[in-house]
Amino acid sequence: MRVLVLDGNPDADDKSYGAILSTFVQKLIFEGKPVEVVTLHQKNIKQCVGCWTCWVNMPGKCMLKDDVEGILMKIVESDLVIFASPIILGFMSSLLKRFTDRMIPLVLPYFQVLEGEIHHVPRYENRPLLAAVVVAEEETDREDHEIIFDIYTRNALNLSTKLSMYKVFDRNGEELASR
Amino acid sequence: MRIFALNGSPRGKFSNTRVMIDELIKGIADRTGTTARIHDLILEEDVKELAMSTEQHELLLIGFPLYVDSMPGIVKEFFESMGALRRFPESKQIVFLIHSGFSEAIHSRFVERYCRKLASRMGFGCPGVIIKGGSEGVRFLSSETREQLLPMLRELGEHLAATGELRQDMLKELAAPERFEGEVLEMVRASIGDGTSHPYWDQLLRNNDAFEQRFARPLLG
Ligand SMILES: Cc1cc2nc3c(=O)[nH]c(=O)nc-3n(C[C@H](O)[C@H](O)[C@H](O)COP(=O)(O)O)c2cc1C
Repeated sequence: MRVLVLDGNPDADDKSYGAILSTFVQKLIFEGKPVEVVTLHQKNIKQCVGCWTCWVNMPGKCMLKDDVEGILMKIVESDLVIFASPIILGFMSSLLKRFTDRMIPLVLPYFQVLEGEIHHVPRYENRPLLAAVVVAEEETDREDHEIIFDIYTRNALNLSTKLSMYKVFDRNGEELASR
Repeated sequence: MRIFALNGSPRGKFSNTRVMIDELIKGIADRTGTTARIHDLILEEDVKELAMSTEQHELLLIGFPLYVDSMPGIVKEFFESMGALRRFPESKQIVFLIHSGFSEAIHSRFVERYCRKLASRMGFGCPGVIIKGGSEGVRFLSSETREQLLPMLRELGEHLAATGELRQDMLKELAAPERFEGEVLEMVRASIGDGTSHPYWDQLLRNNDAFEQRFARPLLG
């Protein structure tokens, strides 16, 4: 089980988030899983501009030159990809979202029906499971938990995979929700 | 009424979002005589400052394309900057326009929940969220979607300016189909083929001399 953690924390000074994530990662390592953490704020990640180059010009490749391709290469070799972020204004960080927007080279432009809805067809055979791990902000409530869970469940559907784990921690590292 | 209009498309000027927001504004202008400038978020140098500038407006029109089941990264960044302005005394209304490549409204319903929650977090009134699927062709002048869609958005804008409300019947019509069901779903299934070809994408691939590479997997080491 090769695990890739995408750490979308934009703020290196956020100590309580950092401690919670590293405890979580230590636990995975203790279970004997090879874990790699990508710290997104140390990477150069440009915003996708919706040009479709990765679908119709250079299939599977993005025309933007930055650190994203290297991260996508790790994703296609993983069994589980964990999206980790502090909750900021009710959702994952804009940093993590900017990275997520760049994941469309992983699918083909072609369509399929999944659960009665239109979705894209995966480009790669290996489709890692997804997970989301978030650390609450003060005002986070159940509705926020559910919105994030539901959107990540849909992200998994869009990538023809499953959301295998969802955890919300409070700022003391207590689990507020877990699925 | 001072209106702040945001085009949250990463495509900037030549985007479906811009065309749609522009039409809402025209509708508002039909009624009030006042127009508004559209801010293209991707071209803005200082997102924080732009978010601050919403403070001087009574109506915020925020449009964006669905990007991987939610708002584009830059739009989330804009929201985060707006978060700092929370609960200032003056009351504001916020209207979202969310549109998607896929035809069914269901894809946008989840980020719609996020947007409504955001409005209440900010203490803003939210007359509604406009949802439109199958928007990819709107930016092209000759598109059929565009011809049907634009008059509706204009009317929606006019009615909003007149009453402060979004007509629910029109929102429903714009959002349809909510999802494909029964026979229609079977027709859709037949029309999209077996997932290895589609006339629209195949044509674009051929035009770019990339058809043979369409299944390429360049990320494998
Ligand atoms: C990175 C990216 C992700 C997208 N994700 C979705 C999606 O999850 N669901 C969907 O229906 N459309 C998706 N789309 C399609 C856009 O929403 C659609 O093309 C829209 O019309 C673009 O509008 P714009 O020209 O205003 O940017 C995505 C497009 C891009 C470029």
